[in-house]
Amino acid sequence: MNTPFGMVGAALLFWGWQTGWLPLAVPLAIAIEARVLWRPALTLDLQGVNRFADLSSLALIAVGAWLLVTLEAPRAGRTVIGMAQWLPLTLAPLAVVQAYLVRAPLDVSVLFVTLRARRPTGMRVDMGFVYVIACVLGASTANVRNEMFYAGAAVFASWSLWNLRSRRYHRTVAFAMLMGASVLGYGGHLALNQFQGALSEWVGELLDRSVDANPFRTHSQIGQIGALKLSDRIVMRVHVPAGPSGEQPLPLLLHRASYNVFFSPSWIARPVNFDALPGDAEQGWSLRAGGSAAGAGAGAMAERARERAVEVIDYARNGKTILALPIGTVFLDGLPPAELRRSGFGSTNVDTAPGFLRYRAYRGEGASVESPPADADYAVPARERETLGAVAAELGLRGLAPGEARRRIERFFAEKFRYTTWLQASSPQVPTALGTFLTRTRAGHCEYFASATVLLLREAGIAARYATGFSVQERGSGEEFVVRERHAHAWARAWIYGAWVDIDTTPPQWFAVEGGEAGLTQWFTDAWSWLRFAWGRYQTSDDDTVSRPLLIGLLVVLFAWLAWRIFRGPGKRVQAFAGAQGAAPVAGADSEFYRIEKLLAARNLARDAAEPLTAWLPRLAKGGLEPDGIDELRAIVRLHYRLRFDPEPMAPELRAELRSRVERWLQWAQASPQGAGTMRKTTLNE
Amino acid sequence: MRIEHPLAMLRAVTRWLFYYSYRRLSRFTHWSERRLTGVGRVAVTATVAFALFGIDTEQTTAYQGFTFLVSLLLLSVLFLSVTSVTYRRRNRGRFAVRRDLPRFATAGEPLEYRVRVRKTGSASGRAERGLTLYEDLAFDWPTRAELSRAKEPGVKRNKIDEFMGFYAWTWLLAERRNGTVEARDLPVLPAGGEVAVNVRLTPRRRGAVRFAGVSLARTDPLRLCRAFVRNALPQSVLVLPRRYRLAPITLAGHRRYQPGGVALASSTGDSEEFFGLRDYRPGAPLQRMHWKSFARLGQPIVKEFQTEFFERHALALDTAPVHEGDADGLAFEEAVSVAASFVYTLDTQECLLDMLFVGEEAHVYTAGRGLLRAEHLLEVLAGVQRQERDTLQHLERAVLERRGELSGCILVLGAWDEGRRRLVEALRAAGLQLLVLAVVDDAAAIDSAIYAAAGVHRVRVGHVQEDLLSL
Repeated sequence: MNTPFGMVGAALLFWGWQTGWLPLAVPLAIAIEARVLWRPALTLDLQGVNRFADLSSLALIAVGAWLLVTLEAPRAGRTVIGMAQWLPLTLAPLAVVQAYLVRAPLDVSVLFVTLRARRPTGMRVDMGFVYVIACVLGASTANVRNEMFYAGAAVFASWSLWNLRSRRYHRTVAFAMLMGASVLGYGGHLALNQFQGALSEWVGELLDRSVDANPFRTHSQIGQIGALKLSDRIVMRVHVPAGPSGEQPLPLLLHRASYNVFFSPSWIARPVNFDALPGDAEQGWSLRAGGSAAGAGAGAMAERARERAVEVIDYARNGKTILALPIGTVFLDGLPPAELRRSGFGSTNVDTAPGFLRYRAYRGEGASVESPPADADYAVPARERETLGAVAAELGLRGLAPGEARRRIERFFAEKFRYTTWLQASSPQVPTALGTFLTRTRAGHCEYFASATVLLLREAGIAARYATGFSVQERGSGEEFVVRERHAHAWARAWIYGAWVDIDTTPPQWFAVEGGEAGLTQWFTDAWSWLRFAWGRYQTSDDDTVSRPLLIGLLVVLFAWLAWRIFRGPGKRVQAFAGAQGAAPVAGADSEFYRIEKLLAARNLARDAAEPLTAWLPRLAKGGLEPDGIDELRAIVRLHYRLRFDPEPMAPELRAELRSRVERWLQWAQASPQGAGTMRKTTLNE
Repeated sequence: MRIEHPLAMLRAVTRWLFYYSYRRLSRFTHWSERRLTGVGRVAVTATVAFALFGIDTEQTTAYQGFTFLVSLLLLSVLFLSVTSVTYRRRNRGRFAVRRDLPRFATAGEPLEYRVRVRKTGSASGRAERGLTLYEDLAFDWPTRAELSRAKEPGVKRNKIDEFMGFYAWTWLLAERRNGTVEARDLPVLPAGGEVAVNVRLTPRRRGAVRFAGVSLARTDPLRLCRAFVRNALPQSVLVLPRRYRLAPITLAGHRRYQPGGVALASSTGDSEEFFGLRDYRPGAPLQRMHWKSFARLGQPIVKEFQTEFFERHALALDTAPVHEGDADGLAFEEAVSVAASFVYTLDTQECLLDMLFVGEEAHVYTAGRGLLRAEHLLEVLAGVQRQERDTLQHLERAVLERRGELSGCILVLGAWDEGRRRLVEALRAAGLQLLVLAVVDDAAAIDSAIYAAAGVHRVRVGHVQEDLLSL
């Protein structure tokens, strides 16, 4: 390890400080920095280093598997971040190798199993520096939002680079560059954070528009011309419980938002106030009006009624979404730790970690948190008043009891209207698109029916709101129902006898009509969606399919087995490999002369790669070697050449002479003082 | 080319796309390897890691590390761009580079040579520190057609890899460059002074390595990136075939009369070794009269010559095409290497060696005392190519023409099949002492007993050294 003393230890302490794992970081830092007290006595060959690297990879995989099993949903994202956080621990074996066993930089192929089969890449990296980077990366996952992380990252990067800087320039230039980068980086990270905030807001709005999840305003297609087309993409999977009669009550309407003001072609909700819902992930959330924090009573109720709850698996791209809930929902559970808020219009907003969400909605007695009607819930826009007044008069709605008025309106739409996804132009005689729908075309899609129903109910003196959400009718694989983007639906929600009820006047054929227009690629997109939701279901599951101790036990066994595989006798493989090469021995490779070369190399008198011995000897003389030593060396070189290049095998007595002469020469040289090649005349000629 | 089927058209378009992407990618890789130092590469890798973990700026603070590293890299690039302008202007034409390059290298064997760099100008100028020397190899980019034909020797790829052709591309590119040269750090170069460094070239295969020039790189103060000054210095080195070690071999055969002696053993004319003088006998040619003795003794004296006897061996290399197997030419390359090993090992001071092979026509090169030396033959072998037409009969004829002078013949075959078996039989039938080596793919399903029965030594690709040692 060639990192400056203290750098790796400091990086580890920084990691421990940021993540709260100081008790682990301190001993590890001491263990690695204690290398300065250790003279390398052991060394490790490439195979050995690779085994330690494999141990690191294995530890990383084990940590990943452990996190995936033990973490709460959403697991995937948290697992990746968790793995990064534990990098200083998983890479510790490699850091120890670099600190104690192999101090020269290692080839990068040790980090990647795929590179090992080839020749060494030639790119050598000091694992000490890699380890410092891992510590800083690990510290970043603690997400401590103050200036200390940036300061730490800048200090460690500058510390590393300062030691490696080019000596070509004065150090003030390098210093100025590091300072410049610190200032630029600081400004950059503030700007980046703000930019991403703005971008995700913009993109979020863009994405949300497709499934009408804006609780403040919805823009309908009323008055548009052409074919209405929504995507086949599956957005949710729903488990619908059987009713008291044993049959599932279909279609089931899942409500997301309501609006009270019609400003053609938009519906607007005002005023919208979101209030936090009492409860948490463990206890669940109560939606009852004036409900206190979900207590043990609510939990017990949930336990009993789990089979009767509607279960939804949804995907929240950025962790923020509006839940789709059936009418009369009084209790919610199954969500990961999240903040839930509900508006007076019945929209339940959730803010949690991005990824899949699974939640159960329990219906029960008692009004849910939805504001009672206000004046705006009775108002009919002035432009529509004339047409609506005429229709209401035709139906004789005025003065009717709410129940009877509702039945007449439902019958009116069922008998005289048909469903179409073709949007027609308004009639020139009628001022509004809704008026054209009510009096001329009498055909349209759900937004027309819902809007017209709401306004007719208001004409009859019943408070009503325009509700949006999904209609659940399509059965998927098994018990589940699938909800596609084109199942987005609109209906009326009316205040009848002191409670809000859903009134859906769109002819039931609408579902079949839109289903008939399914695209050819639906099969592929469904298959993909099935895979996505299977993953989501696993991620959000409360129950472990395999018991946790068993999984952990399996992981331990797997880890132990792999570790044993890694550390067990690779020596045999090496031998087999060496044997296959079948290289012929070089004649004279065992010459004792090489010992002399080695000794002289240690005294800065090394022979150049292509320098003949005959050219080297005069250079040695110039380098300060005594003439007697040179003469003897010349005789030794002659014998060595004979051993190396004579095709005839060397006679045993000559071989013995070479050996003894080298031995004597070495003794003579070692008796000479070390250093600049000065060698005294001693007992050479004895 | 007319493309009729839509699927074929799709395939052609895809391959076209692959080709241009690989070319771009290779250029980019080369560029980044040159421009980024080791520290720079670690910094870029760390930047990517921080970017991945910091992609959501709300989840982790890794994006802060990312912006710091990006700022460092930007400043480094900016520094080099700004200083390059003045540096180039100040040093234009002031670096003189010389390469002390040997004539030959051997395939696969590292070759060290010296490069001298001199900085002209006044001695009072600034010394250059921290320069790195890069060799620029000259090569032509493979064409699209070459890529589609390319096949890596001795490697089996799966269908997808074969279709994508990426491995073939990297192989082809390495073949084109035909060598790798390691970059070397220069010692401090004083103004007006000269420094020399040893550079190591590892050629890949026989042929040539072409140099385009030498680039001198300097780094920014934090040693993240490099900037270059290029010096054109075109040169090339001939790469001799790879050689194997042979056990000392004794070739069968007797010495044969070599008309004309050693020097002219391979050429025409009549020149024999002078032996002594003798009295004239009727019929002795007048050209052999020793006039000085005639004048001194008064009777005709003639010079007597001794005819010379040598061992003379032929080394015949098979360049004929192979109909089954060895599509990648690996066996042929090994056959050339085996031939080179014989050329290198046989002592041509003691015997003559005729090397025969058939290219456009039959070529014969003779090595021996006073004739070509072994390295000349190796030089010839560096350029031998496998022929597309059947050359076995030409080779047979060329060997048989020399039958009278040859003690024996070493025949190196690039495969083993019916045609080659006939060649061996024909040469044996003519009474030649033969040593036959057939280089074959190890996977070729021919029973080793068949080789033994035909008196042929099998040399397996991948086990060449092993098999040669067991000769």
